[in-house]
Amino acid sequence: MRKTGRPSPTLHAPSTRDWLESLTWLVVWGTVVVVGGTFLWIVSDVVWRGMPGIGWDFLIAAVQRSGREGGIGPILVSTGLVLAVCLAVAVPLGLPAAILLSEYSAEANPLAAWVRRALDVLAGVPSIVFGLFGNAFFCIYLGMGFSILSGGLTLACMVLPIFIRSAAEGFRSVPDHYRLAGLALGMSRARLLFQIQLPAALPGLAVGLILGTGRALAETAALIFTSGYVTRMPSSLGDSGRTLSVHIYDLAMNVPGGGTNAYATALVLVVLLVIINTITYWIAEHGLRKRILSV
Amino acid sequence: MSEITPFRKRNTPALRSLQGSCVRNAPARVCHRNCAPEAPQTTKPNKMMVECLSVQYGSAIALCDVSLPLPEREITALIGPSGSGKTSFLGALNRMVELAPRCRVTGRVVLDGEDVYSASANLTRLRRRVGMIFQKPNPFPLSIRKNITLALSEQGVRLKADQECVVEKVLRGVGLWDEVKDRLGKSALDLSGGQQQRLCIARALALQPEVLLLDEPCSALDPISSETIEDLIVGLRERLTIVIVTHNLGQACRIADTVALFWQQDGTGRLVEHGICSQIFEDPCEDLTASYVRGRKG
Amino acid sequence: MFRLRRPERLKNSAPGWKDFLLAGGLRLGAVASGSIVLLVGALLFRESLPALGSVGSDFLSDRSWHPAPLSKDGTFGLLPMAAGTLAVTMGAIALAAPFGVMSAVVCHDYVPPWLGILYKRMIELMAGVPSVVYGLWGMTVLAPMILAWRAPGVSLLAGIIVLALMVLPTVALLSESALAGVPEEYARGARALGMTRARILWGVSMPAARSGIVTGVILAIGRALGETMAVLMVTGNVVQFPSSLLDPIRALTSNIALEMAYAMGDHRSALFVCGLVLTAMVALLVVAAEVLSKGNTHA
Repeated sequence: MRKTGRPSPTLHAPSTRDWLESLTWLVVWGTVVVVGGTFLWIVSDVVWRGMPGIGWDFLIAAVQRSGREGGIGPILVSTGLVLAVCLAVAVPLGLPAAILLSEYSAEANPLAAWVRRALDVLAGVPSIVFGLFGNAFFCIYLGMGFSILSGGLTLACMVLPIFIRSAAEGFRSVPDHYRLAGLALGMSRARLLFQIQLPAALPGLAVGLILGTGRALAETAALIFTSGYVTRMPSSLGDSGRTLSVHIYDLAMNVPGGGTNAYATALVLVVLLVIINTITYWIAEHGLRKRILSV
Repeated sequence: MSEITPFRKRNTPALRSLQGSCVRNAPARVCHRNCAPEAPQTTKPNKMMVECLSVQYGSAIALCDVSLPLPEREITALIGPSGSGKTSFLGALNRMVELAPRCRVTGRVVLDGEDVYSASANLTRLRRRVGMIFQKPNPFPLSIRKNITLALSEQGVRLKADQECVVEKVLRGVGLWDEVKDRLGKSALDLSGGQQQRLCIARALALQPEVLLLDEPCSALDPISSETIEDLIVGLRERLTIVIVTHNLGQACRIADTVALFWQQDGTGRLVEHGICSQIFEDPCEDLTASYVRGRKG
Repeated sequence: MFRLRRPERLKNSAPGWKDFLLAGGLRLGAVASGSIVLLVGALLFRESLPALGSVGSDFLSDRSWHPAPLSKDGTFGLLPMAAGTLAVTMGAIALAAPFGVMSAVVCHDYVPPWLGILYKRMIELMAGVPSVVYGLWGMTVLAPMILAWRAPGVSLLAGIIVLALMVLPTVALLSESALAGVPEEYARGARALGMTRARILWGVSMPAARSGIVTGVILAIGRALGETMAVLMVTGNVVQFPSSLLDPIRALTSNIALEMAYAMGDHRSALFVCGLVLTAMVALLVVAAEVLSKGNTHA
């Protein structure tokens, strides 16, 4: 084939990238390197410095000398209890709100519009303000004092909007035509909701749980003045108990020489988060699949 | 249809409705047309009767003053260009149209002598009696079996054996049984488009509806699947009253007993003409119909 | 096909009581969730009332923060700390927003799929890592590095970097889901027109995903404004107007966390005023977000 004078684009031309394409490519890979690199740096730092302190003893032993020695046994228990209280309150309270918000648009239902707005504000309220609120309301006004219950309830208020937002998003992502089909078949709203929409929205709910649990586990500021500083093993929900993140904060800021155990505790916390993350991910993927296959 | 499920008594009509409440809300716009439906040109009794039906969304009038009888156990095809109100008409028959935002329906739709729009009408029962198939197949993201049994168990058919029996019967009825009998537990979303649509029809048939509304059921399918569906619809004719919206004139001509032509004028859909199939296609009264069915307009 | 308004009126459907119960339950739960914000607001206001009365305009006119249980004994200037909060927030967003949006792109395009998935998992993990861990890293790794360059190390800059890392996942995850929500047909249509993927990204996908991205950034601002621990651990906590990136600052949030343990009387109440100011900032942000998203739908 002879070449013509003016090169016209042929299908076999080498794929030339325009400047925008190259720039975008560069920026994207730059982001991967910078963000990924920094995060790996942090993680490896935590693993590197935390690993030596970790052992079976560390996980179950009591705290000694303000945390410079000993383990984090009681702290793990307190953390679990605070989380349990938090989720036990937030999920049943949040699910109805999520459904209401996803089913009704703002113009159709003023109540939904107001709840949505209230939750938007609540989502933005800084965690330290929840700490103030929890301290004033649960600890002093309701007389719970510094306790796991106060801490858990405060966290529930904090986690609620996050959970509701993602759960509502999950419900909203369920295609409309499922609802149309269900209604055209004369199904009741309750059945449609529990048999079709809820299972189909499971990934959204799972994401809500991931974000909510992560936020609750990670929270320090809201807990310092609600669940308190005590490092003893809690004997009831009315006891004060220190969570992992409060422990890290205290070791790093207030205990000279607490660095190693701070890093070890941080490692435990990060590993816990990875586990929770993975489990929820797994449930979202497989739980839904199973639901589809169930007869 | 009733021979399929010996265990269930046929629903006695539950719509204990008022008679003669034609004008509930005065239409926003008065349409000058004779309200009285013309005498049907068929001998069969009318299953449904639509009188002075208007549908509006907000201030837009999608359908104005339509009166149309729907004869029992016949196929009525609604034809006409896009935007002429066919889908709104169809949705008005089982009140699915009310789900649209700011929708208002005026006029009367009568099913077996009962007003569908009366305040005491039970929507759930209405929709079980008047089934609907959508343009795009929309099976639930569940197993094939569960798709059929879900709505069924709500009607009191809870025994597994009964359910299995219905599943097999309706799937045979739509010619899907041999294709899927080994994978009833698999996701319905793995079926092909045509199979999904047949599953949707089977799902609707499991409820033993008296009327089936089909909104362009073949338009999202390939020609072979759509031919299968078409044959299926013709087969259902002896048991059910069928109303089908179609853009395919050839299809309307092949399967319909009665044809109604809708047309859009000034943004509002109206019924131009209706009559038995051969008359509409061979000897229409209106010029508009003549030019539309001959492909000169629309 | 018609669009849905809302489910049929529940009163009319067949198994009436079940659906009625459902509707009632939904409303009750939603109202309970929504009214928490009123409770928080009311308590915050009630507790800050004493200081608002006795300190009043001194919150704005005082130049320093030397609180005391009795208002006449101390000075209560909030402005330096408000400036500190704003500076660290704006810096962090300026850093996190571009990286966050590009991170969302990474999850979809331009990198091999396995890397995109891995990267998304990493971002999700980042979102879960507690602020104290970022603070710990900032305190023991980042601040000494800055110190080696210029004293004092614990500074506005350290706060900005740590905070940016913390809010990046918020921007990234919300932008990612917004991008994922853009119908594939758009991109396919654009590709059929012979557009390159960069032009599709900037010209089609990004504008379509804009409202999600804006929401992500606004949420990130809110998160940055309210962050306490990481900022507390790396910014040095000196009450002053920042004049350079290397100055130590104290944010409003840190102030509460530092002093709440021993605050009494008007001092305690003044800390609630700090909380009130923070909440007001966030509420303004929410209003801004609502106005913005309304504007967007017509654009």
